[in-house]
Amino acid sequence: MLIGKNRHLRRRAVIGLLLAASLTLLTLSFRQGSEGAIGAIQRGALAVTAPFSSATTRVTKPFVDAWNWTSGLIDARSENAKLKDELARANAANVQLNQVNSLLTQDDRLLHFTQNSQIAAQYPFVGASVTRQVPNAYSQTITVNVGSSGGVAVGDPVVAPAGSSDLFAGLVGRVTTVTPNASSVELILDPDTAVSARVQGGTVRGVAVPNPGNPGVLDLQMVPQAEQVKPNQVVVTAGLQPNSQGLQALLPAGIPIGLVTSVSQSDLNDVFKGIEVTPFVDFGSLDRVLVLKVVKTP
Amino acid sequence: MAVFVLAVLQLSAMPQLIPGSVTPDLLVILVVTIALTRGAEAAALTGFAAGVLLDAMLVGRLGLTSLLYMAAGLWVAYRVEPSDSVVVSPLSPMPRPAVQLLYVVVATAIVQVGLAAAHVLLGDGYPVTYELVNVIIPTIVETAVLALVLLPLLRRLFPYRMRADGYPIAA
Repeated sequence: MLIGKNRHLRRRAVIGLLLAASLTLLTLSFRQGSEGAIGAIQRGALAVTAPFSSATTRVTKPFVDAWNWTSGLIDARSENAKLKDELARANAANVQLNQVNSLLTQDDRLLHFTQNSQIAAQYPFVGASVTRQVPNAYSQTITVNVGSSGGVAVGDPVVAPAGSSDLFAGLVGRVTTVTPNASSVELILDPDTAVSARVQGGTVRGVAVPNPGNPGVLDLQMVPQAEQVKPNQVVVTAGLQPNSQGLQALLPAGIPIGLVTSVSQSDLNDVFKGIEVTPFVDFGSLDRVLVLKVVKTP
Repeated sequence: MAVFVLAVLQLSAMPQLIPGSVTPDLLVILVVTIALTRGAEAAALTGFAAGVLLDAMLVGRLGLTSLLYMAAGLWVAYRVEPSDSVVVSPLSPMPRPAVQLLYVVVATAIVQVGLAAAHVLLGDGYPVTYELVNVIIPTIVETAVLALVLLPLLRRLFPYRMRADGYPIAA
């Protein structure tokens, strides 16, 4: 069936009327702004819809609050994760700073040692970093990053920062192997090591060897019972002078080793005193060392 | 009544429920539904009423949104109504849901682009790129998503009464 002409016209008329009404409203709106009839219509619409709007807001508020709570929770979780990341990074930076600080302290103590120690004034020296440390029951060695190209030779003594001691540095060990760019150092805690030592400020001499029952502590052996030794006396290397058998010590005199921590004299049948010496150096945290170039290289 | 309810929802509830700076256009979904089920005259009337109410509630340029809603409604209505001179029998089929959704998208685009153009021409709009990215496209997307739910509901409220000649049957 065909569309009736009157209906067709009616549709066009309605649409045309609405378009005209829209354009009229638009024109009036531009002319009057919020005044006159347009303003009245707008105010009326606001007044009529305001209660419904506020009711709608009240109805939707619980949902909005729930949404905000949920999104806030998610935000808090992501914020928490972010803060944890930042804390981890800060902790890592703090560890690095502590490490750098520790190295600076060690360098500072070694610097003081080189400026104040007679032994450092007698021999040239070279600074080095510990690149490897192998502490076990059978072998106590470290590897440092200087070698023959730096003038290091087998037999050179090695010192390290001495904790809180006023002597600034203490004996670590002796170079046993040298390559052009690295050296192996046998620590004075090594079971095979013995160091000719004496008590500073006296004539008492002995041999410092690792205490087998007390790791990290030395025994000052071969000290006769008649000798006077007291706790807190400083033990240093005894030096190059020939001993009674005509053998020379391997290390120069005067390198600090440690402090006497105990002296026992209970067994009257024993010929020698029992003297324990605690090294100045903390062997558990060796980072910076000085190699004293005692041995002349060809 | 539907125009009033949807206008209140659009201006009061949607800004709170939908995150972001734009809100879906519920009224355009209504106008499209009316155009699909009741034809051009009803769509034009609905669009006019919706536009006037919205502009009045927003204290905006009264008549501008009416023109755009009417344009959108008439475009949809003329897309689905048979041509004036063609005899169609039996009843014209209702477009598929995907096509209805497409009509909503296009109608929303007509309204949003029209509003943006009007504001640009009047000198109180934002740059075109900003409008496109931050207003037009988000509004189209949000409206399309909401139309997935709202279109079937509105079709139930305003059932299909169009005759083959393209004129709605009086309720």
